[in-house]
Amino acid sequence: MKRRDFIKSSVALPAAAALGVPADGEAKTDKARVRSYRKVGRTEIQMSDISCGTGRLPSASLVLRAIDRGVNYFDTAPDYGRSEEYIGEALKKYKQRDKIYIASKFCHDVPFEAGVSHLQAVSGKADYKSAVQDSLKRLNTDYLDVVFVHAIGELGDLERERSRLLDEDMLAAADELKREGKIRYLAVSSHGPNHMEELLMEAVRSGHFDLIMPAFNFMKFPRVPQVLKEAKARGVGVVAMKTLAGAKDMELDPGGALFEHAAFKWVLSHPEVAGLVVTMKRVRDIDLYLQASGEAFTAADQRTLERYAALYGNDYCRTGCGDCEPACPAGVPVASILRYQMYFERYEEEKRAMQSYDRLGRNATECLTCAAEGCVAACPHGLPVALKLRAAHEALSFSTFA
Amino acid sequence: MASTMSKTAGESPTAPFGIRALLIALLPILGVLLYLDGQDYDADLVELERRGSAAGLGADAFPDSIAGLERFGQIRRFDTDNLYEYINGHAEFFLGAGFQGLTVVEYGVPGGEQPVLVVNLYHMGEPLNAFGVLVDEAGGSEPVDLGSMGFRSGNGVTLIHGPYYVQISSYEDAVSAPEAGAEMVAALEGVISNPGLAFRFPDLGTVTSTRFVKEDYRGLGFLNGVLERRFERNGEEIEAFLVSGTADSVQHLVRAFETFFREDELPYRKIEKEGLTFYSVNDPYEGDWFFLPLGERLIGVYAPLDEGLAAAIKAFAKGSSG
Repeated sequence: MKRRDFIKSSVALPAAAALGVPADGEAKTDKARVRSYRKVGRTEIQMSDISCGTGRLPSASLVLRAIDRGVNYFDTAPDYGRSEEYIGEALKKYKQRDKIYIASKFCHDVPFEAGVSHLQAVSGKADYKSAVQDSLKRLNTDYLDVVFVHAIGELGDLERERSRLLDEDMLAAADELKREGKIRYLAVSSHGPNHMEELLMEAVRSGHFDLIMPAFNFMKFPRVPQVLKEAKARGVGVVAMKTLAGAKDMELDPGGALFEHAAFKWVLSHPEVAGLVVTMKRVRDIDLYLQASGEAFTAADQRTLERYAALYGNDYCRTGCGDCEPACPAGVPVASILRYQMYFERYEEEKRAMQSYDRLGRNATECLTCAAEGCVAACPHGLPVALKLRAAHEALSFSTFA
Repeated sequence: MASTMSKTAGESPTAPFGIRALLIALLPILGVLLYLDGQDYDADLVELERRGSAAGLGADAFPDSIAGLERFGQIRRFDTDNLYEYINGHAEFFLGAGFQGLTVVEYGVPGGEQPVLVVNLYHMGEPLNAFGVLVDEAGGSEPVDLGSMGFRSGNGVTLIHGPYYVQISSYEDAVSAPEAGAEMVAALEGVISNPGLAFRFPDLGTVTSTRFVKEDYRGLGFLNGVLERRFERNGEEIEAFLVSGTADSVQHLVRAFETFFREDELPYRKIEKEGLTFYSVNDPYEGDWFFLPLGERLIGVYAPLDEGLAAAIKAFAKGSSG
């Protein structure tokens, strides 16, 4: 039995699975559960430090299991498959709506496509409001705790993204939705790949947003700490995502800290961060991840992360970076392509990744014959960018009619 | 001393000169025999294992001509060890979905220099696996009436029939991929029987939707390759799932469920009804539900077991075995 499996099975000790455990942190079972709740900026949200990302939610029952273990914050979106419907189903059984927090996005119920599925500045106030209304219907609730302007920085056009971030129609819609009691807080998320820190800083300083959700992990993100400090100073809450840095190989150190735990604890060791959302798609994910709740970051955790960085530092394309893109003569959206490859390989979301790749206006076909390799020199982390792009193209462009 | 040690370590029995001379004399004869044997080279003998995994997987189904075209070039076969040579970057997807073998055949106009039609015939082990791949790869394209299910996209078609997942690509507008698909399905009829059986569900009500879940069905890491169907029954919606495999794999799945129930302390019990053994689960997250193994299938229903459901499943079991 692998150590990981042992740990998974050992936390799955016999326990009284009682549906409807209030999200008050009170332990009722021996299973791993949330042990820390933190206030999110100036909001009234006290979120579980390790919370549920629902991008690959398999069922309503998983939501109920997570609630039973003390998870009280669920991050969803209209384009996360059936996620909203499953949460809505769960809410029919778990009737204590006020005990959990639901965050969704200004987004259409279609597969992700940069610049399309997330509402744009041209959408208009009515579209923003109807997007929320549709989410409420799917979620079987009458209010969202948080609604995000999602994935800001997904396009390279800074001005266009800035317009989306501070779109007057969006802000007016958010105000109305707040007055109508349909949303409580406005937020913005970003995993780049363009201008992540710049846009988030602008969001924080604008005063319009109650919380931000950046991609944040132990890999190098030199400018994120400044954003976090500014957010803290202004009472803007921070929820982290993409905390596993690509989650390459989990069996790093048989005698040391588990990688996931180390990565989570590192993120949560930042006082500005209220909590993190991580995709929970298996029952055993809950067992495994929640063991890190409320735990302090240790020297053993540091060693595990250092080992990971040494092994994969030259392989992981930092979410939100995009430093290499100006060096590409063909304007290939490097970061997006490598993110889709991560979805394909690591998240096993092959179809979604291929669909997203297919929708890119410009893809890595250009790289197959390009000898310039300026992207390689431009990567501050030493990634073999050109090679990675060719590999990504091969994986993502597989055509049934090739 | 050194001489003694050397002799002890390297000493070996020496054959008499006569025997040594005879062996040397036999060498040319052995060489001639090996050469002659080589002239009767049989690829099946040399590549027994590789062909073993691809042969019998539909390779014999290919007609000599299809859509007015003739077979062009060699048949290419790939198995789990070398699939990546054909679809590098995407092989893992197929391997994870139950891939057994791939046969690639090209067709061209008589006397032509280039093929104009390519047929990729994937054997996915189980019809359900083929269905899963089809839904993932081609779902959302224009449906066509080919095999158990088919889709058209551009100048190609993708279809499933029995355990086969078939991609047909035409590189000439004049060559009809759907026509080739129909001929390929007819050819496959000769090597499979009852291709639609795996998609049969018990009649639990009016079908409202069907979908395939490749892995981690309902968050259970051991439950993969699942066909889920929603029914409307007595004004309520219920969900059922079906997994197909070998009888052994189904029993393995039953044991995995039992282990999971024990670990999560989910109470369950075996109930005999209609001559069948049902596992009834009292689940605080899913509600009351049940499942039962039926030979090479496992069926689960997210609803309390009642007489009506038991009778429907009994009828299904009878039909499947009959």
